[in-house]
Amino acid sequence: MDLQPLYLSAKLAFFSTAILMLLVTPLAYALACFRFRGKVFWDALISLPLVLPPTVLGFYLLVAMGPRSPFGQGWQSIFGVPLVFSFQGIVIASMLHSLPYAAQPLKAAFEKIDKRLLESAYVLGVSPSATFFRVVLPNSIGGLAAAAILAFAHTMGEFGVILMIGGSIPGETKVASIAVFELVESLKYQEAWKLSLALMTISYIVLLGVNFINSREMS
Amino acid sequence: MKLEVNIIKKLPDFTIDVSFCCNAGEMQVIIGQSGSGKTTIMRILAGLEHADHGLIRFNDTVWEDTANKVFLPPQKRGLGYVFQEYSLFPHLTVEQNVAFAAGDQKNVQHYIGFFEIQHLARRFPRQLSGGERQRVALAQALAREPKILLLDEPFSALDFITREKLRTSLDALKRSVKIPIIHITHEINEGLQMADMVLPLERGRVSYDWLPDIILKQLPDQYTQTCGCGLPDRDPVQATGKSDAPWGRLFGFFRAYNT
Repeated sequence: MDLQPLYLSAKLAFFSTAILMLLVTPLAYALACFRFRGKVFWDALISLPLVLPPTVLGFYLLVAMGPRSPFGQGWQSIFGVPLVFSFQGIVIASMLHSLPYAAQPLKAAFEKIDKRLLESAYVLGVSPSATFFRVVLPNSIGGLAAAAILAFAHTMGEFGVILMIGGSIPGETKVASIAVFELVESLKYQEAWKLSLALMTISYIVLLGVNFINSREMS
Repeated sequence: MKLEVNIIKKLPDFTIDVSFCCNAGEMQVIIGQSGSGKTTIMRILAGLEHADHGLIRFNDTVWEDTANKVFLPPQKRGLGYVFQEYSLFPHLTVEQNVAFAAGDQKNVQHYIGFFEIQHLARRFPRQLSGGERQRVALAQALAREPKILLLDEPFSALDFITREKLRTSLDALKRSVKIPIIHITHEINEGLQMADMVLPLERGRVSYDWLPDIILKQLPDQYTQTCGCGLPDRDPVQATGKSDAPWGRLFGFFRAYNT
């Protein structure tokens, strides 16, 4: 069995989850704890990938990241390589597609934090930013873990968006789900079966992890 | 050290309009029934809420002056605040909670000893009883050497014996830390036992009408002399905002008083 697509899926999931968690944590905190104009629209926008067909999201990303777009041109002028049909391109696409899977559990975890804890920290002289790191994050570990695991698992199984943005370049964008699709297309069922089983096992272990975290939180 | 308070805050059902002072080493007890505005006053003192109008000053530092749009955030007020309900950090042990904002480790050990919680040092708040949690909360509030201590019904959820023990600790504490202490409670007897000054509150205003006669007869005069610090007495009509007189006139007086 060719393990390269599986390795590429894991690499993609690792990078997109790591970057996504850094970006989405303050966003989810803002949505959970602050009032600001247009909050409801931002909330809906972040959840959009949940209901949008991956091909539609992929199409818009292809337009937005393509060599004719300002973003695509800017990227190429800085890094010297095009963004579409590259590993970096599918990392960005995966991040956007997995955004709600990371944002929703994080937002729920932040909303559950007792606001009196924040006030306790403030009256003890701790600044809001220090309170975030010293009080909010340590009390949201379950939500952080659940968000990271869900984003990772979702990226591991991503297909449509990656196919639109990255195509199927071996070693660059041909992740496990695309490899399974191609193996089935070429009637190599035995290899498809093995790769699918590997993906399913990984996904099941990941979901077990989420359930374990949730049950610990409940207790 | 002296705290001077003169604030107005409009609530949905009534308007808070109080004026009082508290000197170092004194305990000002605000007694009032549930919903009389006690906690809101405390939150305004802490900087967790804004007053609509008024002035709060601690020594020469203005904490809030609505006329001049001055507002000092809670982080800069040097507070020790013990909340009505437990608000210890659940992810930290007792010792870590006490040390959370303490500058000096000696203070942490001192107050852990003072409140006799050494044996609980490695436990988490969820493993403590109500009385133990409030002792930890008091140690946490004091370990940072606050300039003022605010107690928001800290004993309300405790049984009689635990409450008496904590009250004794607090009496000893009052003698040792020479800072103003503001204590709010709905327990009249508890308030009178501990108070140097009493502010009976009804629907946001100082009122003795709701106090039972037997209590009124017991009140020594000095208990109720809460405004002897030079802050101006206000016309109650102005205070409710019903007067045509501009607010500027009232708070211009505060400015003059400041200078």
